[in-house]
Amino acid sequence: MSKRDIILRCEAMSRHFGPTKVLAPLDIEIEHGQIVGIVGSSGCGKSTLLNIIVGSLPPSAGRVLISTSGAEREVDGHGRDRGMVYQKYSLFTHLTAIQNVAFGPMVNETTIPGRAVGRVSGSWSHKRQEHLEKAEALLVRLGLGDALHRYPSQLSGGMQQRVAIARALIMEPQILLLDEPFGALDEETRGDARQILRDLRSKVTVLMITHSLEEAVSIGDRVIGLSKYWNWREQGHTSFPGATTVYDKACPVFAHADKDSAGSIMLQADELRAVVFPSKEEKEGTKDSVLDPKTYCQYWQQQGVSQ
Amino acid sequence: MFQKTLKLIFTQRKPLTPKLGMFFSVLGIALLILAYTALAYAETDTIPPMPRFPLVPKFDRLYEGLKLLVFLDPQSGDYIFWKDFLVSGPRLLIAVGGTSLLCVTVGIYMGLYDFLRRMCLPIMEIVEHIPANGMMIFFLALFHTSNPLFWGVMAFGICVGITKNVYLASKSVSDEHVFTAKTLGASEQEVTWYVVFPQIIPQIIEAVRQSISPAIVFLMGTEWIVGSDGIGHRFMQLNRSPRAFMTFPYVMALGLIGLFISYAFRKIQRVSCPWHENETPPDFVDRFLARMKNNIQTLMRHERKKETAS
Repeated sequence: MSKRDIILRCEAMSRHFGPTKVLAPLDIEIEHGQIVGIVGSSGCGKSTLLNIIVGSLPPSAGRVLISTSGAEREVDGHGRDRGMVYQKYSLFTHLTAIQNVAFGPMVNETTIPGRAVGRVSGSWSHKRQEHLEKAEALLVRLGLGDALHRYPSQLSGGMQQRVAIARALIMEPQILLLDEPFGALDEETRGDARQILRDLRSKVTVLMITHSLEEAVSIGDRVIGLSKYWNWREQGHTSFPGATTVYDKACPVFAHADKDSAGSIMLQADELRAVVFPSKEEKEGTKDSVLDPKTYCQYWQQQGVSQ
Repeated sequence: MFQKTLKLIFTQRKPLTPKLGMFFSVLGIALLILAYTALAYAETDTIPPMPRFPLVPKFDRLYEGLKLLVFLDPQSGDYIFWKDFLVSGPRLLIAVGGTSLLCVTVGIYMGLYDFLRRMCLPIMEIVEHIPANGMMIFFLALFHTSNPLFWGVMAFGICVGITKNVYLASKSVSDEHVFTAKTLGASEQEVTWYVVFPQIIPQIIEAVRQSISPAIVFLMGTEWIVGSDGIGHRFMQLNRSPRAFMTFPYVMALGLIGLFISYAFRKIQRVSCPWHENETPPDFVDRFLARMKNNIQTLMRHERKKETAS
């Protein structure tokens, strides 16, 4: 069986900051419309990986290819085909919720001189109205109809996060990158936010960093685990090459018939915990990890695809 | 009760009740007036050649000075303070305005482009340590005693402060904001002027406000030394024969204008940046005006009730 519709491909992509190696050469392929959870201990390069994919950081070696507009092309800087929602919301503090969401269409569909001319000719106000109506519709859909004209400082953490997701979604990105999107949310709001993600399944490809393994397994179609603790010496490296993919499997929701089975979610989360997080000795450096990265990277075998 | 109040006053980081807060605000000013009065009445020593001009004049003499300076001067028929203010004010406005425009632009770009930061920071470090009045000779050679001399000295004195503050504010706008804007399709210029600039307007206003006091000092100094008019020049004249009874009201009038400028800046900040409101508590004047408004409304309600009852 051949691989399905691949939207994102990392080819031997690595990243280091000066002498600090963060990511060892990674080969990752993501299918269109999937929700992929990315997990790992702190400092294992999860955010770096997302920043490379979104175009904020260039890879030190290798390349990232995306097929968002038919043909495959290499990522070179930011693009509206990839939306990003950061952990700290990153809403523009000087804009209201609706203005935040309408910001994307404004800068994407018009230019500074175009807006200046449009202000004089009157065409800008018409266009602006369109943007605001579109933003309003999206915010209402996300349950923020009452908060359209509030500034971020007047919104709760959950509301801010929903506005940030709406702002990314209004651009209709093909890949949505979420850096710990539920980090600061209470349990009730987390439920709402998870539902928003579930609604996106098969429409948008979502890569989501999360610290909650259960969350990654229950929402995602696939979970990728990154770790700094693997048997790099045995793999022929003389110095630490950076974190690598040590876990890559389909999730119970996606792979099994017993959808949302709490038991299978817990089982997979336990397996993930054991693989991705280091033992005390490994953490203290008294014992080298013997984990072979290939052992738990079975996603494509699970799909019946020969690598 | 008394013990409780004492404990409240002397507990660190404990906010006072509004009434107690007001009491201490008034107490500060009252103590200052008291100290001045004590000095004025205790002073017997006067400058030998001019026994009529004590160093700390009594209030009746101050009032005389006030009339002479701030109000009408019977000899020249001019409102001296306003005449001077109309010379120095525009000088200050042009220098601070022009410098702000340039420095805000440079500061914003310094926070966004590393090459500009590396280029400008060493220069700023040097300029920061040169006293602006020391550069007066350079500007004097260039512009003689025309207005650009005053603008130049002030601009030289305040440019580093404004640029540094704006640069730090621009730098503090998170990478996430910049990157998010770019993923939404914003160009470099749109990121600068639609994301970074509006978010740091409160800090820009604060930076400009803070630059006014040093600008006034540089202006006074320059007018004192080479000016033929303006507030600094007037100070020079007044100090030639130390007439404290005239100087003090003049200084107080300047202080009041400074207070008004500060208040105006805060008001501009509040009106132009409503999202920033939560971070800046209303100042004394706003609280006072709000309280007055409340009192008048209560009085009016009371009167209306009386009328309907009768």
